[in-house]
Amino acid sequence: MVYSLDCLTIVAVCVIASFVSEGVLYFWIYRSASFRSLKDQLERTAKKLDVLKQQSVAVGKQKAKEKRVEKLESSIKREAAKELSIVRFKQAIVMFAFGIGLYNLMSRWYVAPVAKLPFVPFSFVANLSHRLLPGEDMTDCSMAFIYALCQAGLRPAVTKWLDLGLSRKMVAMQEFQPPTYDK
Amino acid sequence: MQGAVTNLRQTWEKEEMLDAIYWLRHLLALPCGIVWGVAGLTGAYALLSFVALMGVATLAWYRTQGIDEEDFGGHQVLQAEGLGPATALFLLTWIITYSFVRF
Repeated sequence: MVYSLDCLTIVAVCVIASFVSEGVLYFWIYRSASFRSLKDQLERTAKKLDVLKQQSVAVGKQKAKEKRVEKLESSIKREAAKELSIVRFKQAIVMFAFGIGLYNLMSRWYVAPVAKLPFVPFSFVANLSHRLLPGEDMTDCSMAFIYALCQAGLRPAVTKWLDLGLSRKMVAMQEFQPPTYDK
Repeated sequence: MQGAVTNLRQTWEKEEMLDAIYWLRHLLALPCGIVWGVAGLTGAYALLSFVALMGVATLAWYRTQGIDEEDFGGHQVLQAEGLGPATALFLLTWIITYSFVRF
């Protein structure tokens, strides 16, 4: 009971911060007409590409289909790369600002162990889990480790659940690989 | 999400399948973290047993859907989906429950 309330407070603060940062991103980027039209446009093109890939063609026309798919993919990539990199840059700024700001704030509040680890961490994990803590007991857990777990486990879930920003397809568009075909 | 649990052998889009696996893994991580914490399991084997359980449960689930894994990028893509966030969520609930129950 000594540790748990501190942990729960950190988790609650992280969850609230995730919602707030998504809100900031929504008002800054996601609700703008340019982002919405980009999203619509890319999703339409991606659907067109899916349909084209699923079309069965005669053996002789396989090459023509490959060329059309490649052309469409490279046009998507061109469109997506520039516009989406700006969006991702803005996302990174907001996440960085919230991440660092919140960490600095909370590291002033929580200077004692906030939890007990049920395992002895490896040395590189211990650097984080025992950060700024006195004593040699490596199962003492610092705020930094709980905060990192919240950022890794809860924040992506909140982002995914709200589903305001980049869809999975849009992210994949930035990473298109050349298509491969069975011969 | 509801469809992932209730509708067996429905047709899946790739994005829907990956989303379903993502949320199912989170649904698994939360109670497992609590159970591991209440049971007082400790050490690396407790963590590895969760990772193994998650892999087997995911494999069992998408096998019951009767899909061809290759249509969704293969086992590697399906098994990698949500692995990091679900493991982090498991660690978080395990540590909090363990600290709450044992100290």
